[in-house]
Amino acid sequence: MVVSYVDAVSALSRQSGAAGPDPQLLRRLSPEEAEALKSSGYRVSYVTASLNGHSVLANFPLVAYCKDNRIIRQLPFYIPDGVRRWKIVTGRGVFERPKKAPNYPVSFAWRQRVYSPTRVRYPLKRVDWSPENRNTQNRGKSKFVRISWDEAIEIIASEIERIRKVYGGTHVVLVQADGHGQSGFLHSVHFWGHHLFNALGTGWIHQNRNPDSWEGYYWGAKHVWGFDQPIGRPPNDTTWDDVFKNAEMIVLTGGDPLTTTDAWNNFLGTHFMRWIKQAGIKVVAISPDVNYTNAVFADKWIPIRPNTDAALYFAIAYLWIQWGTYDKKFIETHTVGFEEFRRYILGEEDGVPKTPEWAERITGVPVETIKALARAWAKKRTTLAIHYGGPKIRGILSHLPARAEAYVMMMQGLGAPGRQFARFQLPAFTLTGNEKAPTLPTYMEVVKEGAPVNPVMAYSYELVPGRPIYPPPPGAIPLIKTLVPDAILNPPVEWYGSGSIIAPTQDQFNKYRFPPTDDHPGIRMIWNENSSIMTCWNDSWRWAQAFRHPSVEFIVTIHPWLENDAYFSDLILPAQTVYEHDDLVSAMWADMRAIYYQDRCVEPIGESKSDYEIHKMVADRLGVGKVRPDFRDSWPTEEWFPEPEKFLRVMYEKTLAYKKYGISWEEFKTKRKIVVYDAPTPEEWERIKNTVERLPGVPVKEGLRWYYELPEGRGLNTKSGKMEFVSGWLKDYFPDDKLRPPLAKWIDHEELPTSPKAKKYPLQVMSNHPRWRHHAQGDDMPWIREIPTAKIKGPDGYYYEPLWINPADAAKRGIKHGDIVKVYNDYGAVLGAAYVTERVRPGVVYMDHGSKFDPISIEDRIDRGGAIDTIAPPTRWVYDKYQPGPIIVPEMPVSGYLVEVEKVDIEELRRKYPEAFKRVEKMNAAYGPGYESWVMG
Amino acid sequence: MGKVMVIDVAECIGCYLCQLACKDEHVGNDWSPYAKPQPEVGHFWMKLNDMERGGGSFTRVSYVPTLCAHCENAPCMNVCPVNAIYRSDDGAVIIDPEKCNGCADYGYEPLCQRACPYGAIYFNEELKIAQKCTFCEHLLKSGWKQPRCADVCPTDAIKFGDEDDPEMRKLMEGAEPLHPEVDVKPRVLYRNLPRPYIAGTIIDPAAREVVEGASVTAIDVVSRKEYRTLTDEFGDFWLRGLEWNHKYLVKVEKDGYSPRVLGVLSTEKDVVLERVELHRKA
Repeated sequence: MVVSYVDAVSALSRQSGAAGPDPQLLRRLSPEEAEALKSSGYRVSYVTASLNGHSVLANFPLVAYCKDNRIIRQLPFYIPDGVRRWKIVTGRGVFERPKKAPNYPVSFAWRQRVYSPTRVRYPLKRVDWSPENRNTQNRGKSKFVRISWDEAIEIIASEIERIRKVYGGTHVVLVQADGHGQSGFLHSVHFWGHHLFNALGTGWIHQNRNPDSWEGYYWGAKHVWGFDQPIGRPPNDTTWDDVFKNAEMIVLTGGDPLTTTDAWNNFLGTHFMRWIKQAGIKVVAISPDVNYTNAVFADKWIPIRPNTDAALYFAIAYLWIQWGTYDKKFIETHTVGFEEFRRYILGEEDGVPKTPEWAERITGVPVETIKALARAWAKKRTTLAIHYGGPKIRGILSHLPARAEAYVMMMQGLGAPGRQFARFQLPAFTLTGNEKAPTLPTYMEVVKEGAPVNPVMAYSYELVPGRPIYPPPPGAIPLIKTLVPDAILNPPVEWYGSGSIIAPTQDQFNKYRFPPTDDHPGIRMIWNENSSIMTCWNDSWRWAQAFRHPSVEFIVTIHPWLENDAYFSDLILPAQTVYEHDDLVSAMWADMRAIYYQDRCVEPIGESKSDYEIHKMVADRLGVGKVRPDFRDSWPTEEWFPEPEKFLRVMYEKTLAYKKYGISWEEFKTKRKIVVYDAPTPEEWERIKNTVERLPGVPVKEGLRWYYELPEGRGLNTKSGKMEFVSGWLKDYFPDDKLRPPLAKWIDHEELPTSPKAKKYPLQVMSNHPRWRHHAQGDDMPWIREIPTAKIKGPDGYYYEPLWINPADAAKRGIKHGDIVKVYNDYGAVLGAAYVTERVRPGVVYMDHGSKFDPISIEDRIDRGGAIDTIAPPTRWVYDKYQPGPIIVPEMPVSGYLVEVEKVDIEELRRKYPEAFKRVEKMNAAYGPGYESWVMG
Repeated sequence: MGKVMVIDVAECIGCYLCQLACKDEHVGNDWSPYAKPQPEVGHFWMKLNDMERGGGSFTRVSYVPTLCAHCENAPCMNVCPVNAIYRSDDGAVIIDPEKCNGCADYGYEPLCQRACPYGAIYFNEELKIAQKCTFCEHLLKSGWKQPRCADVCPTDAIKFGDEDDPEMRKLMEGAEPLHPEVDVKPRVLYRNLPRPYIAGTIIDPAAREVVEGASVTAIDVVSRKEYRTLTDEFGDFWLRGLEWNHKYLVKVEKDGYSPRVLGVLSTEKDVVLERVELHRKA
């Protein structure tokens, strides 16, 4: 087996000098030319461009040319000729991974964030905060002043000391350090806050990121089929081989590979869609919108009302039962509870047969189309494919459509040839995507040891190979993210399920409480490394209230940009972009394992330091030294915060590149720069698929074929070990739960277009994984903001977030394309600019979440920036309204809820709220509000 | 030996990387003598255009990247009052940033900008010069084989090469200019430019089912050319590859149903017939 490398001196992304017709070759730098490049002052660096963060979720790099402290250009990465790329060989074609691995526009334009006017640049303190006068009521309003690093560190040290004295420890500090971000291995990582407080040894409150992009699978589908490790979704092990070979139809149920997969896997989403077409597979998209994938690749678009998909699936089940066109044998041998499901569908239980007519009223999908879909789904070998998206991850009661979707797949024999649950997430292997075998051809040893895993990832409850870190580390008090406002504003709060990504199903039967005991003082300090909640978490106007609550005595935010939560901080510490420091990069999010060394491109902006450096400074100041004895096994160095060089070398030396191929750290760092591991040959891949075992004696084969081919279903983490229509454990623990009953059932609630509330709020607003941001990341890049569906420049010069609206709905409201509008409900109002389009069905408006929060009025809850999540319902609303008591499923509903839209007179708002408009007078509108708007002097 | 570019619109997925790669290369970088820096925003020397298609459940999007066509008969060259525009050995049409004075004598409304049928020329407010795509001439002169847009394109929808290269010649066959109405002899050609469709769903309202296998025909009322297709398992038909601004007589038939003439439909835009009802013969 050969590991390839590219000599940094000769050329990066170099095509081979081999002759042959290839007019696409960009450049063939000879060693002389390369030398000339170097001597003319160009430094060429592999920059990690992925925005998934978590320290290891990098993909293939941008090849950045830098000179004289400037970024000159960034080229796409080409996988070197000497590396064997994977291919999937089928009777319908050979699908080979392309050489070219570009990064998507948001990553590409990221360079504009380096020198952006939105950078924090210096340590900033809120002008009216001091230990004596905290003025928490002014958070989100008052501006900041620049202070020195010394002063900033002293403030932090004295606040921590004060808290220890007053409250007896740091168990009152909420550390918000989870979720996505830049993807360097050491420096630009969001978990160092947990590590810091772990090192201090006096406890902390660990904000557990909610299951969000897999929510319905976690809270719902897990109870159907287990699959804990892939967080409630069937594993992506070797699945696509079967899909390309055997599927006749693919149903996309929400999810947008041309947005998400292309972003995270260097445009493999696009290539997979092209291959799907090449293989003659019909693409059926069920969604309220013509998303970017549907726009180009959908053979059939079924416009459906948001959050109603379960009704569609139940009607399909009804039809199959009528026609007898489902896999009765599989149902009998591999599932339990079908009889109860059948009775429910036929209306024998509630008097309501789940007919297509019934479903049409709820979903807006015509009866004829429902029947046609049901017929085609039964007749053709149909795979259901997702990449996040859809009601089962963003909607209200997301567990319902996730389970209903599982039921229909079970009815057709899940795991039969061409009948898979496929995911467009295409990293070679991740512990939240795979169970045993890789998604795409990869050697098992490369999976295990090809790239390093930073053990700090354990704090994100993500993955440490061989060491799942559930339950939480000692001293960490879990608090699920979506209930933090409740924990601050009206404690105590009780819920089930820690939310921990890697927690097994059984954890959902554990009750949690915050504060954990009556004598716990609650949250007194917040350590925020995300600075994103205001725009990418539901009910964020309440988060604003929580941030401003007097019980929260001190908030410090560590972030490169002045945005979102930073406005509510008392102290902001300036972090760096990946362009400003060296780092190791572990490309475990790429479809092929790779490691590369990132050279710094430009000098740090202002006095910014990397996230790691900042935490190390604080740790050093607080006297944090050597690792506790009980922690020595999980941490690779003696020190809690080692010197960067030491840490990187130690981690690198755990990889195959070093252990098997003998490439020393020095050689890797200074000469090789990148290692991309070969993929196996098709023959080797066949062997891997047929030898890696899912159960003893049961090889994985392809997708869920292993399960389908068992004589009888077994081996799943459910009560019966089989797939369950009626969840045995839910029956044991929550038999009377109306919202998530043991058998998934249609539930009418007031956030549906069929409810009485729809008279006041007749539209549903939908939010997807944004096209032009990575959630809250990157809303301030002019090259992106110039793109028509990214921002619309209003008549006032402000770049508004587009609100897609159907022409019929727009006409009814006198709204024209480009008008400034407000989208509102009882939770508040958000401004946007109307994007009038047929790409969204009538009755639905669409605004991506993550747009930068820009408050017009915190009291009146009006946001100008388009932060739609500020008006998304609170987690507990559905319990308060229908089932008071502990929150059994603490979900985060951010899509499909009811709103109304109307034109606004921006001048009227300007007259009414002059301060908010005055604040941004000096901004460069192409970037949005930044330093000039929020910092004094 | 001149260069040509062939853009296959069927392969364009609307990622916008071509538009961004052009900015990446030219914003803040001075490539004199070929080009001065592009301003941070507002110029689109390579521009991606979204074209929303159809309507209802037949809504889709086509994407067309547009740029300077580096015409052999360049209107900009024909009008420049200071002879600032020239053609390189590669066939690239270059506005010399030193010679160009932004048409100062014409109120800074560049004549080349007005003359260009592709709308590919932009005025730089700060430098007071006209600017446009250079085919990345500064890179070609350093041994690069393609401009940035072609290099970055994930689907290789943008192909670039020598006009004498047999591979390029093959691509040029069947490729067309974006603006055939002006005889500018462009070096940028397109394959699979969007053509209108007539699409819809055929329903049997009595049975409340879609009608599969119905034959739908569109006949050009002038040329009498026929386009025919069958409805699929969703009752859908798509008559693709029609001509813009033509009129078509559209008919539907299926055994056991009364045939229908749906009328004469014209293709200023795509035509979508969301629900066409067929009734069973008595």
